[in-house]
Amino acid sequence: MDGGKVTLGRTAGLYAGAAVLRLALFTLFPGLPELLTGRVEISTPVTSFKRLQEGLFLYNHNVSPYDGGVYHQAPLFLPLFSLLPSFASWPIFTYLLYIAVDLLGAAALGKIADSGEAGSSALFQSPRREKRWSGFVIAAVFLFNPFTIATCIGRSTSVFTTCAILHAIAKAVSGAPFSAMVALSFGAYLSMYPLLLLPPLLLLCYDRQRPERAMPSGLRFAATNVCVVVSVLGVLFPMSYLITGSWEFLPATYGVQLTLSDLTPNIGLWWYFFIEMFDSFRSFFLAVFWLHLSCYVGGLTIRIRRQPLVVLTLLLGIFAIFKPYPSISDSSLFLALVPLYRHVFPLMRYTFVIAAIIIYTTFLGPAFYHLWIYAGSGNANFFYAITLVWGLGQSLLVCDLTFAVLRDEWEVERPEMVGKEIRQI
Amino acid sequence: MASSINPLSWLTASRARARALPLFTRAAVAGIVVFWIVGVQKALWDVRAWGALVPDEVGLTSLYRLNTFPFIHLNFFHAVMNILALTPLLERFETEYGTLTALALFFGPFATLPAFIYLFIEKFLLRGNTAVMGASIWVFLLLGIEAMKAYRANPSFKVGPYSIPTWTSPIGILLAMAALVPSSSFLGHLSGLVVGYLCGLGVLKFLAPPEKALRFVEGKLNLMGRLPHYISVDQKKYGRFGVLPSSSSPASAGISMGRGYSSLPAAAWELDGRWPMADGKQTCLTSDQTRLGPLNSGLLRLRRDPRILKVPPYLSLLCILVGVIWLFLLPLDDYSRRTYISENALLPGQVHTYFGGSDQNVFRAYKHETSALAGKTNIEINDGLETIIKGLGLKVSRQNFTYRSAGREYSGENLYAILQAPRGDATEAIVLVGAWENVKGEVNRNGIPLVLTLARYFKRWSLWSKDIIFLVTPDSITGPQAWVDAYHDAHDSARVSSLPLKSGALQGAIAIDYPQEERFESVHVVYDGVNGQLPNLDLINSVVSIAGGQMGMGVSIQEMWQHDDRYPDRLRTMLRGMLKQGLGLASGPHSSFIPYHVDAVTLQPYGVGWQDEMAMGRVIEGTFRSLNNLLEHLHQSFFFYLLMQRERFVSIGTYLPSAMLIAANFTIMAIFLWHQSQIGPPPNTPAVERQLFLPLGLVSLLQSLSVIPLSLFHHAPESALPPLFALFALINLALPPALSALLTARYRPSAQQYHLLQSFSLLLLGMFLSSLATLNFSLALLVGLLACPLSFVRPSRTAAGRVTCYLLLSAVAPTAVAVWVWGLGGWGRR
Amino acid sequence: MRQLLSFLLLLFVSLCRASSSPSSPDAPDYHEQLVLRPLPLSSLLASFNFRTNITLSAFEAHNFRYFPRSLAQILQHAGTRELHLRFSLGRWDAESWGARPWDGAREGGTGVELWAWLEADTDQEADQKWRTLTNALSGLFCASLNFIDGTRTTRPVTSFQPEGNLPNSKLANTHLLYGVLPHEVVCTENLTPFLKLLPCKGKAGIATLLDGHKLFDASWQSMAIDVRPVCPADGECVLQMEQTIDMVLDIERSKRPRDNPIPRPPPGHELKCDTSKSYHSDDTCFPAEYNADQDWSISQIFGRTMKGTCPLADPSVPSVCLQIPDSRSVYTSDGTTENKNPDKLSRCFDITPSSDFELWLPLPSSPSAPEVVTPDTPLLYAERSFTGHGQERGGMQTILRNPSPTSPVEFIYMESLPWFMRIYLHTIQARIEGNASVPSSSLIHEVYYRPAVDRARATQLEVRMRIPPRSTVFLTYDFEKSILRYTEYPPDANRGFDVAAAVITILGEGRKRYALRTTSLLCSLPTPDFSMPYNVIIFTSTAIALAFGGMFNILVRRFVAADEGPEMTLTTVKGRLAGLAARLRGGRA
Repeated sequence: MDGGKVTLGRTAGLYAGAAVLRLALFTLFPGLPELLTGRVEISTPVTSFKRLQEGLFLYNHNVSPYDGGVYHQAPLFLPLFSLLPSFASWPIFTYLLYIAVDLLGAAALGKIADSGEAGSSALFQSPRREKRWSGFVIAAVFLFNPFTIATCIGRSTSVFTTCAILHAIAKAVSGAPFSAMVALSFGAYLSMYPLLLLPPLLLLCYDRQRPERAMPSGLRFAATNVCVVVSVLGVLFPMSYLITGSWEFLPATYGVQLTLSDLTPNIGLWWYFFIEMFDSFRSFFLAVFWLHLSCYVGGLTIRIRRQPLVVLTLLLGIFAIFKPYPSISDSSLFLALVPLYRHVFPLMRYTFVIAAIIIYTTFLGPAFYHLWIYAGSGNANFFYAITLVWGLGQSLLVCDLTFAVLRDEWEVERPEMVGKEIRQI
Repeated sequence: MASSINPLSWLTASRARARALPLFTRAAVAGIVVFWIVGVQKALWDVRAWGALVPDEVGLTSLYRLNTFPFIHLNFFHAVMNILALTPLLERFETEYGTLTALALFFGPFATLPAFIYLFIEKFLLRGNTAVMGASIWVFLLLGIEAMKAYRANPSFKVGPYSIPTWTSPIGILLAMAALVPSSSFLGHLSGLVVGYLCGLGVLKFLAPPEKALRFVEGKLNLMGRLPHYISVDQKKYGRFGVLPSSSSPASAGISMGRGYSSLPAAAWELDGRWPMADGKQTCLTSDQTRLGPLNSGLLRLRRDPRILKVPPYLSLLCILVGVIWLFLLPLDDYSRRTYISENALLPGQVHTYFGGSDQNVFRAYKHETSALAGKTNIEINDGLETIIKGLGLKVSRQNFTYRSAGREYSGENLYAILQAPRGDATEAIVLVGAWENVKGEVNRNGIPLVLTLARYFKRWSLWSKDIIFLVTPDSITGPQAWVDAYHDAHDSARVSSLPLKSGALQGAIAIDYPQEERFESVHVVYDGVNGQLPNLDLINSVVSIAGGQMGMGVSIQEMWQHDDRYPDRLRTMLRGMLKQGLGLASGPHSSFIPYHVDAVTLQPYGVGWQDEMAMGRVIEGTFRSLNNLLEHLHQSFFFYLLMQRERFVSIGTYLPSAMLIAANFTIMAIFLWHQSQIGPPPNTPAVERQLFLPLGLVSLLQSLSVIPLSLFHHAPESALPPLFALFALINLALPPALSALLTARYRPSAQQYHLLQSFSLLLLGMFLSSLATLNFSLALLVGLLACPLSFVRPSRTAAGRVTCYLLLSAVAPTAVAVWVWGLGGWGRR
Repeated sequence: MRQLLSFLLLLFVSLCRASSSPSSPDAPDYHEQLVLRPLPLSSLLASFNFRTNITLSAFEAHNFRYFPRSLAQILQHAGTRELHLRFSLGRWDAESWGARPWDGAREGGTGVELWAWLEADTDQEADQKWRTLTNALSGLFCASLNFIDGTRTTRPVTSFQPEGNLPNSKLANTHLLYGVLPHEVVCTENLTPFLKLLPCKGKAGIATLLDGHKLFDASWQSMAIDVRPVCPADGECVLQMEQTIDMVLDIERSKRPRDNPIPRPPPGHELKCDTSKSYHSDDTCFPAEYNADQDWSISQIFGRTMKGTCPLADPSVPSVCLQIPDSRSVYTSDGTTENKNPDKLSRCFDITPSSDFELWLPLPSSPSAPEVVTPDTPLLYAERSFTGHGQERGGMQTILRNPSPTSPVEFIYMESLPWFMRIYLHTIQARIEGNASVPSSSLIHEVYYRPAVDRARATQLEVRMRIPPRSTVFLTYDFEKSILRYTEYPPDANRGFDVAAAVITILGEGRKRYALRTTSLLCSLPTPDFSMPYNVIIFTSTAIALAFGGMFNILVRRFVAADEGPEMTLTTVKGRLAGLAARLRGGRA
């Protein structure tokens, strides 16, 4: 488990293994992809592959896919997937695409890990930074995480967002602000919420920019990069307009996330809340939920200014809980970044409880969903309760990680406090 | 602060002191538990009546009450509360004064004195006659002693300007108890407290047996050697009424302990991850608390006490016990409920049924027809029936099916007819199933003619709001399965042909299983579905109320042909039901419907009585009229229940705890072991990093290995199953020793890794069981009970211990149990 | 086809009469007719037909003679060019009853169905007029037509064609709107206003036979109102309103006396037994064939006799016709003359206007003689059902069978589905059985699809297909059941939601069209727990508060060692409170 010598061969073997495993699952169990695509835990209205197919079908038959209640995904998917050979006849190409996206994400993750940014950022050197896992291990944890595999087999389009975010971070760490911003804006274009990652990512880029072409003034740096994002989006949206021929896609893709008009169950906290919400308060609580989701950005960015990567990780964890349409792919992204903080694991206190909660909910969720939808012997509250516990478990993990990181920072000031009992006042 | 006692000191002291509960404390707790368990039943021997301290009852002959009453409790919670409160205090007392002294005092004066005081006040002053029981009297007595002790240590604590003497704190608690806890005897507690104060002041020194005598007894009997956990008079740490040493010990130990505990209570109440904050509160609290009287400090100590580590095993044992006992409580009137109809639309038995009269002639004719068909091939039978049904003017259709399961092939042809609801649209339907052969293979001699006659009769009515489907299947298991699969297009069309004729959503199904020739006495309702799923309770209730209430025939369930509505029979019914549910086999034509959320039951007439086929027909007519009234799909009543008599049941809320407790015991042990693995064997070692890799890998590997038997048993032909099973039973026997040998030889895991190994396995086990309990309660309970020993095994040093442990475990392993049952069954058959 | 021909003949005759001299005021522009057709399985089809004509000029000039004023005003107000309203109950058993009356042109799916051509310049205006129309009609017919809102309205492209001949100039800016209420239960309160529209108000003529008890006890019944402009080659355009009631009565059930409707088992000696059985005895009786009793009389079937004829009706059109082989004898009340049609399969009766009319059909004289006119097979059999189970997703399967051995059948299959059934069009496929020569891909010719918009618009699907002879086609597609807000569920949420019947329009040669409708379906959606909105709001908010509070605490508090920092004793608390108070005071000062 220690980050020993990572030869090129081992890495190649790892990727090959992951690819082969996925390909085997795709081909040997033909029923499996359809099954997973149908699971609410994996595909949400904004990432479902079946809805993507429907959108493609309409798009190829000259019906506007956004003039309807089914397709809520970014317009660029349509030409992308219609370039591929049709899924019905040649599914293998789609499979390969998804596998490739997963591997790209893993590669980016490996870069992030090997940069050591997690342990020692520009402004902060953790005393424990020696104890860390190599990019190989972390990529392996990501690639062989059951959640990641399930997402890939379920062909949820959120893998593209995941890949974009990971690349944005990787580029930022390797001191390429421009490409980082481009990657981020792609993520934001695909599913909106990555835009909230902009502030910490800016800081990360700023800290890690190359000395030869460093931009001393933070303000100018921020301004230029924001301009980059705006301009990229400014290119993407007109392109989508040209593809679909109307601006209908804006309300259909982003409006749905903002107003939660599609109440299909998922593992998040929103759906049941807004099913049971009184109509007069609906818009108010929508605003509150979005405000709550975005309010973490400022606080974390300021408080943990010295480690922007931590902020990014924590934000991703928070999004995985409080997004309008979360799925296990968001959790898998968060869980992929957590191992970067191997050095603060000893400072975490509820690892066992968290693991227990997550495992429990992973198994109880499908069982209760079955009781509600198919057996008809349970009602919606069964599944809702599990989503609640799932959310709590994840938030516990986020809080615990935050605590560990902060304590790690604090012990730099107070070295004598290592291993002592402390409290916060 | 400085003057007060540093709590940590007490910690270290206590840790240095007792590692285990001393003898008498154990005895007392055990006694309380035993008495409670005995007290569960009132029929044989009403302990409470026997042992409670009832002023009027106490005479010379019944003086024993003065000693017994502390052991007897009102109910479960009373007992548990008192045990929790008593144990630490009593333990302290005993470790200070020695076991013998405690024994002498608590069986002598400490029980009788308060009793006398209470009797005096209650009987002669108040002229009341309130019975008291429970160990709380001892709790307050010990509190009194503690309070006096603390009073000597530091006389008073300050709240703002005022200083309050510490000895008063128990009184506060007494008042609080009297105010908050209902039916807590203020007088009883008060008398206990008074004695406690007296004793604490040393007034009652004379009661304590002289040390010489004690030493003599000990020496003579060599109690030290004989009894475990015995605390000798010499072992006593402090002199009588000695105060605690106020020397503060290095904080680190306490902190490490504190860290040690973090994960357990944290799980309980600090979700927002502010453990150090809370911990800080605790520390400062304790520092106040020690000033603020001993009790709260006692409670706090309980939390930061090493003995907390001793609790979980007992706790999980308690979980198991309570789980089992809970199960056996269910048939009692207080725990089970009478059934009731919660779907108002059903209105069972509210309509007059007209089936009969000349329909009997028709029935006889149809019976001639069908008995002429008996013994013919499936196809010929269906031909015969089809002509009859066509003659009734119904739409008839057939379905071929072939199943290949366990190497055997089941094939046949279903015949079904649809009576289209006049004026209705094909949106909903009810099914009437008559299998040509029932589960036992008997020909459904009266059932099929009855189905035909009813079809003819129903056709005349114009009030049906739902289509009625008459289904005749060659057998009772595969036929209905094939039909209902095809109806919901969940079938493999290569094996099972699709249905050419369809109707709307199925709202319910009734199956007739009526092979017996002579007139019957009662109806047997079979309701177990596949995989332990059950139909909506409303359906069973309406059948019961129609057959039992309206038609006045007997109704029975779970093959309880005789059922006096008393505890043993209820228990037997419930256990039979649970066993059936746990095995999850199909028990009749109705079973295949239930997984599709179609509520169904099978009705079997049995016994010899005066009810004829027409009565049976009227039962079905009434049930169909009820189902016909339905506006919504049955959803009101319960889907999770245990019936213990045709009109008594327990719902999930009442019975689930027993399974959940069993599952919880594993989780508790898992957390406990995880935590054990952190603080190594010596108590003071600070937190160590765990080596997770080996345990995680091993556990996940073993868990994933279980796929192999699953797939094998699925695909093996029937003939190969017994040898396969034997093979896996052997593997089950052989694998553990081999694995452990390999493990020790190869990796020589540390104690910590063993702990983790067990912890993870138990965690997974608990999780699987609790998820299973929501799907199939009985199965989860059975497996959980069999797996109970797993949470108590520990790596043992001696070879003998290992062997015995291994033998025990493999004897109660599910496979072994299956072998036992099978063997016993075979033996019983012989 | 034969009695269809006779139908058309009658229609044509009456049309000619109606339009020969439409302008002359005394010309009869109202006539009514009842056609009785015995069907197999002891059923009887009774189709009532009332037709009123009014010249467009008179219509514009508001001088309605027989044309119901109430309806006319609504039509004028809503700018309706052509109106079709259907109230239907039960299902037509095509297997045994054969082709549908009027080629299915006068029937609707279960519930209420309404489609109309409205004159409007823009879609908005059309919608607005549509709303006016539905509201007015729901008032007129005591039906909840006003619930036909945007989510239940579609604009079919190919399925419906105007029956009347609208001048093309008008056709340009007329909009076809189609709405359906499958859950509506048709009952007597809809019949009464229907009769009120008749000139004789059900007091005389065949309308006197229309009795709610009998009508709504029928196995299948459909009330239709069609208003269309008819422009003959010569002469002035007339606005023609046709009211039709078709019902299939179960003879045995209808013959049951009103005062004793309960089908008690008859006394043993009254049972019709098959005496040929060996075991036949007085206590054992194998019942004789079910559909052997085509003997009935009007008063038995309808519970009353017919009260003469309507004096306003055109006397030259026979008001009662019976379609039965000539071999069978029919007895009628005296004063009526029976004249048989040349096709030997139907006869009509001239009735004395004043006296009551009774008709009795006895059992056939010889068992060998044909009992009923064998109904001719329909062009297409259609059966629709759901596949799959569970409340998450499902599939729709329509089995379409072309019985004809020679000719293929081309038709348009139209579904208008509620928005909460999210259909996946890419899963639509047609699988053919019985005729291997035709590839399945060539079955579907055209697809018109308008996807639903949540809470705003219904799905509209029109598929043009062609089925080769003697083959069966399975048309399937998947859909997803969406979960609604708890306020959007009906009170009986667990019953499920009715899905309207699919309309199948068979394209005959020329403009000829045959229509048929499948049965409607019941789609059960996942339901939340309606009892606990407050609990859900509270629980979720608590979870969020826990997460936020924990995060917030960790972020804002500063670390100290456990034994450092101020103790939280009561005194310190007091001190802090005091300090806070002081600060507040300072702030105020």
